[in-house]
Amino acid sequence: MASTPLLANAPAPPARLAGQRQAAQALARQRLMVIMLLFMAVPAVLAVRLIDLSVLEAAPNVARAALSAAPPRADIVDRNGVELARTYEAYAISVEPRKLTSDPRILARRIAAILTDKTEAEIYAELTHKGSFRYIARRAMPIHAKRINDLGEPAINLGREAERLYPNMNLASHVLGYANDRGVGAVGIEKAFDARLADQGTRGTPLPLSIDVRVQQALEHELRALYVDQSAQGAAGVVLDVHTGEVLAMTSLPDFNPNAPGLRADGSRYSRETDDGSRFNKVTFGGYELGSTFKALTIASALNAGTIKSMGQKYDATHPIYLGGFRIRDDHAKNRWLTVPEIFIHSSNIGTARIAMEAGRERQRAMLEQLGFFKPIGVELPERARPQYPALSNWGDLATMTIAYGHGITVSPLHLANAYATLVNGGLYRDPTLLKRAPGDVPPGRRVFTSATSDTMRALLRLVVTNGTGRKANAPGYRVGGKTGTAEKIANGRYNRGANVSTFAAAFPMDAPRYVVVAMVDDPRGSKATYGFKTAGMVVAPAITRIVERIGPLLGVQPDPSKDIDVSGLLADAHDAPKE
Amino acid sequence: MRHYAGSAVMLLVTTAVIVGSYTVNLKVSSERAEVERLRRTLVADARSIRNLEAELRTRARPPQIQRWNDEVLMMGTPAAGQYLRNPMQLASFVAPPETAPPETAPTVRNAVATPAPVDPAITAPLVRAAYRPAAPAPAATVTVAYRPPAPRPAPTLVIEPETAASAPTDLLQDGGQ
Repeated sequence: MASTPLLANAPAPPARLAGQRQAAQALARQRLMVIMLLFMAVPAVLAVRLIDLSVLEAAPNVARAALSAAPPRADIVDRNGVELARTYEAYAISVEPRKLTSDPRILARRIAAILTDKTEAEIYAELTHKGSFRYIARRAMPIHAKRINDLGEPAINLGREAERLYPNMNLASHVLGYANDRGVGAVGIEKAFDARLADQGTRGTPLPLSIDVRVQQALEHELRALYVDQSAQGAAGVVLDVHTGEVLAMTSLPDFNPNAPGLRADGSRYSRETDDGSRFNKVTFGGYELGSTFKALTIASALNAGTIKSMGQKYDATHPIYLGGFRIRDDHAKNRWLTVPEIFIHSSNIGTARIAMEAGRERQRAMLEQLGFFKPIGVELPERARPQYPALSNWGDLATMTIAYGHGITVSPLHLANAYATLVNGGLYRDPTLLKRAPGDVPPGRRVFTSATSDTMRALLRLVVTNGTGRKANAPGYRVGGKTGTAEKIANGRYNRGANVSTFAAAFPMDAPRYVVVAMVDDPRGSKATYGFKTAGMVVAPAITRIVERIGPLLGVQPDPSKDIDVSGLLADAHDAPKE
Repeated sequence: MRHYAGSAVMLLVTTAVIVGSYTVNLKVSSERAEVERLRRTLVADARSIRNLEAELRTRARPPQIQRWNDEVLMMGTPAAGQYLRNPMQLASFVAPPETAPPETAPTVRNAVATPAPVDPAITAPLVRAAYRPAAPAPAATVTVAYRPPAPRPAPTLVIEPETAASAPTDLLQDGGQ
């Protein structure tokens, strides 16, 4: 009975109440049910997920890189959809020098026989390089790649790499710029729109520029002929739509091949000594004193201000102006009082200076500021020059007078083209653009000149071409108007009388202007064709005729010899025709 | 036994459903693979087209076309006078139609005269089609207006240049009118 005490000491079983057992059983059943439901829920959840995976998320991912036809960088096209820059897959021939199995000297000779643009020594240097991976050639022709593949050297790899191709070579090179080896824009539009071109969402859509490749070719060809004929240091040209501000062509010579930036046409590299400034876009990044082309702006400003009340108003050009130790004189001095049209067609510095003085410094400054001449031109290119002009404290009477005829202020040729567009389009300023503008996207513009001023200036500009210094720009039937500008170049702080910057700013057709053409030659040397002259009227004006005759039909301007703007009223007081 | 029969039926039905579903699955997979293959082909083709376009564009670049023009074609820009302002101006370039010369001898004569000697052109054995100048046309001076229903020689089809004076005359049908 040893267990008795134990039993006696054992705690008494808990007292059970009536129905407690049933309650416990019910609870257990409930729990069991819940667990069972949970177990049943698992397959249901799995089934739902399976359906989700197989049906709802079953759409294949079409945006995968391997399955996308979009190029790795967007194409650039002109306003008519012609490619200016595109990406294509070129062959890149590379070598892993450490894995080379054959004699590098023999291999180098064989490869040099295939790749004629590389020397045997260059290829040998790559084959024996200490690195683990070297390029022998990039952008190789498929036929060359195949022949190298046939050599059977396992250490040579042929890969296809996305390369930027500019099919038109040098054409519009300064506008387009180029992308570097890593496909990042380095210059020009390639740099300005790098993010847009490389973005995964937009690279499938080409970037349309305002450039028209046919107009670009015409401008570039005619300017190149001039540049060569004149043995000039450079040339620049731009064609602008006066109503939209779109740049249809922009060229700067000498230029470069964006497919091989930094290399000359013969494949040699530029050095500091041989640099000819070909990478330099003169249209936006060059600052020039553009000379007499400014006279149109001065007269327009005075017309706007009301200081010129009639075209018959006369100004004293009887003798040069002496001021502060400087002399302002005329190249073809008339030594008499001149009317406004006479001042313009004879390109009288003295008369223009007097018109500017009458209007005053503040009006001149306000006009130049409204035309955007105090800041870099508002175009998309990253290469833009800041104009140089006198500080307000230094802008005295002399500066007012010289700036009136385009000396003492430097602006880019695109500044000038845009100012002429403003002058002839009815007086509305719009920033120029290199992107194609849809008809509805053209900004309304900011008024600088009144419509009446614009009308008068059209007639005056036409007069310069029919009766003035720009007669050689009179393309028959196209009603060209414009102004010559021949400024002396500055060398070591002094004007160099032997070197000019000859400019012609033209617009056509003058009865309803649509396009502005500005062409500039930097330091023309004169030639047989120009009888040794270096002036804009002799050098640039004939090229303007050729350019207008070529681009007019392309742009839908029909020549009509029976149509012209009436300028007879302006000549009422003119006594003689100007000389070149 | 009946107890097992139900299970067996269930098993069979389940197996059939599984096999059927799997077949559908296979079919869908193969279709999808086909679509994928097609898409890859499309992408590869689009790339080839791009590469070919690149070559074409490079070969037909404006500076190159300019060079061909400067060296071979040597075409210049049209002068202002070469543009036409309206269709009337275009029409004015067309030479006025020449007035027909007075006909000395009718091309086709109705006559009941003596049967003309048979023209060698008419006796030619084959049907001939010939364009001939409008000027003296002896063959066209058909004088066979009326002939006895003799055995007809092989017909000759003469096609004259289309002028008002010499409209084509089908000798076979009209029998010389």
